[in-house]
Amino acid sequence: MKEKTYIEDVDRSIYDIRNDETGAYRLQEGLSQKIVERLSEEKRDPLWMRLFRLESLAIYHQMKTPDWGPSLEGLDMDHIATYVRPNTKMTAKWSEVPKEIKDTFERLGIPQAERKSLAGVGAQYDSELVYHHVRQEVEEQGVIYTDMESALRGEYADMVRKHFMKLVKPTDHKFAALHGAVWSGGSFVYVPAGVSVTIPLQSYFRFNAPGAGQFEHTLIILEEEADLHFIEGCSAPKYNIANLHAGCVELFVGKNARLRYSTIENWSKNMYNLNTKRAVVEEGGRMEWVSGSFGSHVSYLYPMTILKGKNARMEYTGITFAGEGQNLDTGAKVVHAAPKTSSYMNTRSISKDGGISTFRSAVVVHKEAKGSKSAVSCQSLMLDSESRSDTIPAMDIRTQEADIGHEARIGRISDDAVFYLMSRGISEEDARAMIVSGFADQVSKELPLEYALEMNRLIELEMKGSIG
Amino acid sequence: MPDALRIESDGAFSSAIPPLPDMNTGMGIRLDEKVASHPIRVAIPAGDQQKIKVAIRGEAEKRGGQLIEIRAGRESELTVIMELTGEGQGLMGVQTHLWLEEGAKVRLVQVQLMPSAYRVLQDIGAYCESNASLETIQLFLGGSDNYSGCYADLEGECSRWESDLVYLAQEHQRFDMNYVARHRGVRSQSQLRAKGILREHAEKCMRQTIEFVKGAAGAEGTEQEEVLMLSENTINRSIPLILCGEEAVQGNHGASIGRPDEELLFYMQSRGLDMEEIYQMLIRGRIEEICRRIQDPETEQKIWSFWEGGGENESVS
Repeated sequence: MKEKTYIEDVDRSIYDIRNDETGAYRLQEGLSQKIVERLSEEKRDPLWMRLFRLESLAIYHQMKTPDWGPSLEGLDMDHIATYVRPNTKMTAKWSEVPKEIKDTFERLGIPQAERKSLAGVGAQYDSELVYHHVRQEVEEQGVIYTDMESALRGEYADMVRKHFMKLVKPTDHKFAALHGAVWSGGSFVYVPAGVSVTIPLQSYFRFNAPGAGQFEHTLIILEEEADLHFIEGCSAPKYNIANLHAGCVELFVGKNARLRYSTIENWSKNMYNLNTKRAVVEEGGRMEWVSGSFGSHVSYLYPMTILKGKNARMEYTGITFAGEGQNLDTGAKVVHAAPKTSSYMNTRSISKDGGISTFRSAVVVHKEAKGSKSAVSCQSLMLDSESRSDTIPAMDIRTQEADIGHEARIGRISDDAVFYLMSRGISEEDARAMIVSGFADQVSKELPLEYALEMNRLIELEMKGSIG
Repeated sequence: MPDALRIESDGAFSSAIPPLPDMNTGMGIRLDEKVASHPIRVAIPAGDQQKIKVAIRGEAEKRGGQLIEIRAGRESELTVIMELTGEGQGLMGVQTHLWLEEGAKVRLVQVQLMPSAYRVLQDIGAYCESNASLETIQLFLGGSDNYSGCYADLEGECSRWESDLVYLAQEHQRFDMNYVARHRGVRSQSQLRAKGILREHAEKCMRQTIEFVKGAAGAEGTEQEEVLMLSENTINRSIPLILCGEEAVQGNHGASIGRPDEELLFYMQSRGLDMEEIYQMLIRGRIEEICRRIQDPETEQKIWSFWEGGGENESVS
């Protein structure tokens, strides 16, 4: 019988740095009105936000936990602290960030990336931003890139209030309601009309506290003909107890504007990642999602795009890599609500060592969306028979004047391809790793070089092993 | 309830034949109890070759359910041509259970020519042993609310299911369909093809599932769906699933939904055809395609007669 390739566990030493919580402020575990009120006090919320939190909490208690996806049985809100504030204040100077936190971000390469290839960086540690900086020349263009709390109380307070949780309403689902009740941290970005930010902004979310939740809110508004690439990175050390990430991303893409939103998600494998992302795109606007999901114990992640204006476009490029103990339910949704809109989803998923990967998508074409086009392509690789890979796409088409295509493929690494590479002197292990890298190439080529390298490194680590 | 349906058959159906074991069907267990009271059964001996025609007619203002069980013996070959017709309005539920023993080949043809006010439930469950081959060929032209399902357990090594479905949904017709291929057998194969046309205010939902259970090494399954939407007020829903618990398999899905190709329409219009004539040609093309698979002139004649008669059956005394 043919021997199988033995695949080692990923070397997560960079991501597994744990710092103690000395001096950090931590709300008691659980979820109650008292806790939410306390959180609101700590955050010095304006009155409307305090009321919004309490209303969201009431909705949370009314809604059911989803039962159609991966099991959430291991997630007990009574054992989750919804707010952990590190013992520091946000600063725009890297030198002022506490040494332990600074060391963690340096090992993750954040300041190096900022120097080399970013227009601005926000670094969140547990529930609060600890560093936020944007290049002067970008600021001079009128671009606002700040933490959500500053935006909520400052010059842009009205704009935040107008947009905050208007796209993702607390009534959407239980964890959107939870987010509305206990959100903390995240970034606010405003790009004025006609401004093109030529190098990306990045927010990095680092989760250090065990048994806690991170609920950052990202709000990005692009005015007419603005252009931005925003990168989101996240990681956490692994603990033996469940952590929860229920962030929320709301993106408003103006007329003829373009927003690229890239995510490399590498949460630890005790994380429940129940994030909600949504964009609305006006006439001629373009939304591009690039998503790499490598971490988490359980993920529910389906970025949604509403193509509201004529000729609006959406592209989603995603890869999901599910290994041992992971159940990653990912995909995308698009609503064509205006004429001549177009969408393209291109995804790859890889399952190994008992990992479960599910691709779930929805394409909805309204009656008004005449002349719209949509194409969905999803491919899945199974690296062993202990794993699972499911594709669950749905299409709801309500106009004849639409051109809708869908294709899906599930299979394993071709023996012929491995044989061909081995006949060229490449070892079986390297041949398989090359094939998997090639399979993921659709995604990595969409990322800036540094991030493509990080993604390829993650894949190599996942694939590293020996012939047993 | 069975009195509401009139069944004519040239096969050796009997209720005295032992029942088949319980099996999964496309519409699930809720239909089982509605049709189970007066089952008819046929058993094809090993190595035998048979062709059976079954005509099921729904009476006006009646509701009726029928369970038909078919056991195809080892290496037997069976063709079943089932015609569903009726008059007036009513409800008809027909559930067919098929057990294909080793090497058996079964072609099940279902032609649904119901009046436009009749609600129709058509359900199939099949269990395939090693090297068994099931072919289902279905044409749905009539009915008001149409629910159909088919579930094939591809249990045996190299077992196979090929499904060809053509439907025409028009006016306010609704179609809700669920087709499931469950691969348990090594090197089992499935091909699920569905081609539909939606007109006027018709609404349709198609669910196709290919499931590869762990151990089904070498299995291959393909889902294909083509939907032509010929009117502005139609609604199409498609949910094609591939569920995979085995590494060494190949699962594919392809779907194409929308109106006819612009170049084709332009070409035909340049030949002097108006849109309605073009649409009629497209519909006839789909029906002809399935008639070629049915390979039965008498059934073909009934299909064309129904279609050309505007969806009315010939009356029977």
